Amino acid sequence: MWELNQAFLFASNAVKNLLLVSGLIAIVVSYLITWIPAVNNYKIAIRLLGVLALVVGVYYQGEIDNEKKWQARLTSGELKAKDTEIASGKQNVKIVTKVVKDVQIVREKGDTVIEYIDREVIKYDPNCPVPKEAITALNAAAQNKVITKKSQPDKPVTTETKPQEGKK
Amino acid sequence: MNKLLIIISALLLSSCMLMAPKFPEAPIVLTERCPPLKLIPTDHTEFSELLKITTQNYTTYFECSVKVDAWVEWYNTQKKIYEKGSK
Repeated sequence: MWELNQAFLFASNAVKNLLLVSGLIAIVVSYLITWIPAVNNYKIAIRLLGVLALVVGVYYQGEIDNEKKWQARLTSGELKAKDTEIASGKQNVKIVTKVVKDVQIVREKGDTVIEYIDREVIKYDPNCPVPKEAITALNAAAQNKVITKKSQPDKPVTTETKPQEGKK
Repeated sequence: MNKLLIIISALLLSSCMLMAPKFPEAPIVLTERCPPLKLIPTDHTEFSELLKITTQNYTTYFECSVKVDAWVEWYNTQKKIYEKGSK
């Protein structure tokens, strides 16, 4: 598609240049044919056509120049866009490398804590029973859920010694 | 003449799209959602097991935190690059 556009532009520029040159030639010819009686009658018409072609040709030359300026800006803009894409790609690589490295470090630190638990905390397991209520609370927090009254821990059972009837 | 003007205008306007840099795609690692936290099994859980699962959840939080910070950095940097390229 781009090639077709370029071919069209080249052809139209060629026609516009030809118009300008033809106009100039026609004006010159209109003065030269003054000495040729056979075509002398057409000199005014040729001159008029030449002037018209010259005016239109000059107008189109301005258009061609303007088109060239736009093309130059377009090329410059395309180069800038490419530079931006390259800079952006480099930034992506840098950030991804950093994330992968930092996540690895976080996991390694977590692993050291788990190793410590397996080594030092595990011996207290028989003496530290975990109440179900604690698990309920932690799971609710992990899921960001509400603990309803039904799932609240039961009140601790208190034992009271009632005086026996009949005894003082 | 009008048709020619329309064609030229269309060609010139199409250059506007060509000149603007394309906004980049975010890296996949930054678009991954944070995983859910692990739950503690309710039947017969040892204290050490509870601590391990809690530690794993804390690790998950820090991993997520690293990704969020990286996302903020990525966005701010790309914005600067994009604004510089659009001038």
